[in-house]
Amino acid sequence: MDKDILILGIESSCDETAAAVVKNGHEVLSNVIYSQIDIHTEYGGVVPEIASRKHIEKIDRVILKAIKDAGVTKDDIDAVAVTYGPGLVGPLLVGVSAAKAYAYGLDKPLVGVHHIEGHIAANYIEHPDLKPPYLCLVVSGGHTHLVRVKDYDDFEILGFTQDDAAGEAFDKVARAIGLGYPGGPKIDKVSKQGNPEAIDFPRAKVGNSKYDFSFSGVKSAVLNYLNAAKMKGEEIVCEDVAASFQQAVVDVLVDHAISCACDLGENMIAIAGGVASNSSLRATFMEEGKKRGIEIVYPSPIFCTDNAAMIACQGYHEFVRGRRAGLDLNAVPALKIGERAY
Amino acid sequence: MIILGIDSSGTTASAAVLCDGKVCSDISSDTTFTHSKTLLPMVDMAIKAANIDKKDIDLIAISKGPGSFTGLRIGAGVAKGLAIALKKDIVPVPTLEVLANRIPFANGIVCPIMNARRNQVYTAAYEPDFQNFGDSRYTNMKMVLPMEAMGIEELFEKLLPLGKPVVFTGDGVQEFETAIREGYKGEYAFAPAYMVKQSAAVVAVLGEKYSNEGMAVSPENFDLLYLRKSQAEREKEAKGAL
Repeated sequence: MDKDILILGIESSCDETAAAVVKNGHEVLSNVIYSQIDIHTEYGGVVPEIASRKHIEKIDRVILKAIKDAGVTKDDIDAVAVTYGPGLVGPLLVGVSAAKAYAYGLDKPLVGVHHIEGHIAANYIEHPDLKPPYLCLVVSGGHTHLVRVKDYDDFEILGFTQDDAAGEAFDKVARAIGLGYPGGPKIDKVSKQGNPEAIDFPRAKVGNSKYDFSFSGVKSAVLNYLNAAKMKGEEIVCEDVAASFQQAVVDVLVDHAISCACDLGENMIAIAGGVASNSSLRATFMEEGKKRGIEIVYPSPIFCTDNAAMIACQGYHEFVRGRRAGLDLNAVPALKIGERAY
Repeated sequence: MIILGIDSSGTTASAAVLCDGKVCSDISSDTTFTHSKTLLPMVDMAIKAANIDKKDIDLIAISKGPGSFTGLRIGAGVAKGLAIALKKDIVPVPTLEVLANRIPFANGIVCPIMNARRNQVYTAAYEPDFQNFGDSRYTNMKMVLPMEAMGIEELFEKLLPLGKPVVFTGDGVQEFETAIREGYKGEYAFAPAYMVKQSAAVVAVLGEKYSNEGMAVSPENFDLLYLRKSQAEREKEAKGAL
């Protein structure tokens, strides 16, 4: 490589205001995340208007801190990369507006990044050897996708959820068993004290494609189980319900990804998104991968959560391929994986 | 002193450049296009039309609200992004004041009304102070009713006892014209189409005045003025009150 390329990433698609500086698409120089989780916990989920208000309060200092923490100056930055979708429109617009004006003020190029493609790119940070093509399972509060990463900027969706995202099912079940928001980490935690085989929740098969997912069935099964137990006056062991539910979801995710890899002859699977930090998902994947000789990679928890380092990573690959966004870049709340809306 | 003025608080978006008290450029657009797509290109146009370099900008003046929550944040995002790139301060200007200052010579009260939805308006009332006019570059409007969100009938009850003719202005006029014609018992008039909207030139001029009074802030200390909490917060408070 002739010259190092520094990308400033900016992310505000949900309830994290984040900025980061990344060198050459994988070396994280800074990673600043201002999380609003405590505020939204009071409401049992993310409130878009409150999230937007917090984003605009913090966006400038998060950017300045990312530059400072990286030990560089704003003039050292080669380009600004910003999440422009998918996500909540109000929160997205804060990051997009600030990123555009910042890049414009500095006379630097601007790149728009897909939030989920950013999650996938988070894998490059700790696995610099990871190169397309490979298979990636994206699991988060809003997404459950099995994606073939054909190139850094070329994605093919092989399977996706027909109803709830995996993370969404975690949130709903966590609420039903009184764990509250956010569901994923809470279920993961109590499951460690529970028996994953205590209750046999269904592993749903979906008609359309053998790689598609469905999680509304298992969610309903949990709710029905809880109701039935209450009616009969049976004791509900929260830890067992959590562990059994989690295992049902994890089994389907791992099974689909592994069988897809076997069908396609892929020997590597990357996991991405918030649910990628689930300990049971990681453990089951490693175990099954080992059996089939498939290498499994995933980012550290800090890069699984919404962050801007991953946006800078993906932004780097878009930047070196010559993609540039204009001053009229808009937020695209329903942007699809692989879609380019500018 | 070069000031960039920005307003995206309502359906109109505008950008203007004020150079040493002179409005060098003033770009405005009121279409169905989202401010997210139009505002920054308009800022760029205003800078080019004023024949300055963006690095020459000394201060960014912005219409801080009330107004459309999303519109305000697009403006604030642009203002903050530019301010940290150029290392400049931001001077916030209340949007209702911007509207009132477009009609600085009214013989009576100027009452800006902005559509706040939920059958309310964001409003305030101002009156020109001809006694203490001061610097000829600035208007001198004194506030006679504070900024609030309220129903139009409630506003009428507050305006009537002031006993003076009222000029209604702002984007709420369109929505509430019939209500005013039918419900307001005092003397009144409506601002003409070319004066009824927010203007970045006014934002810049008021920004200069406020900056002279020491009211410019660093980007991290700039806050929008919503005049209304989010629906989730209102509902939560209502529940708590029961």
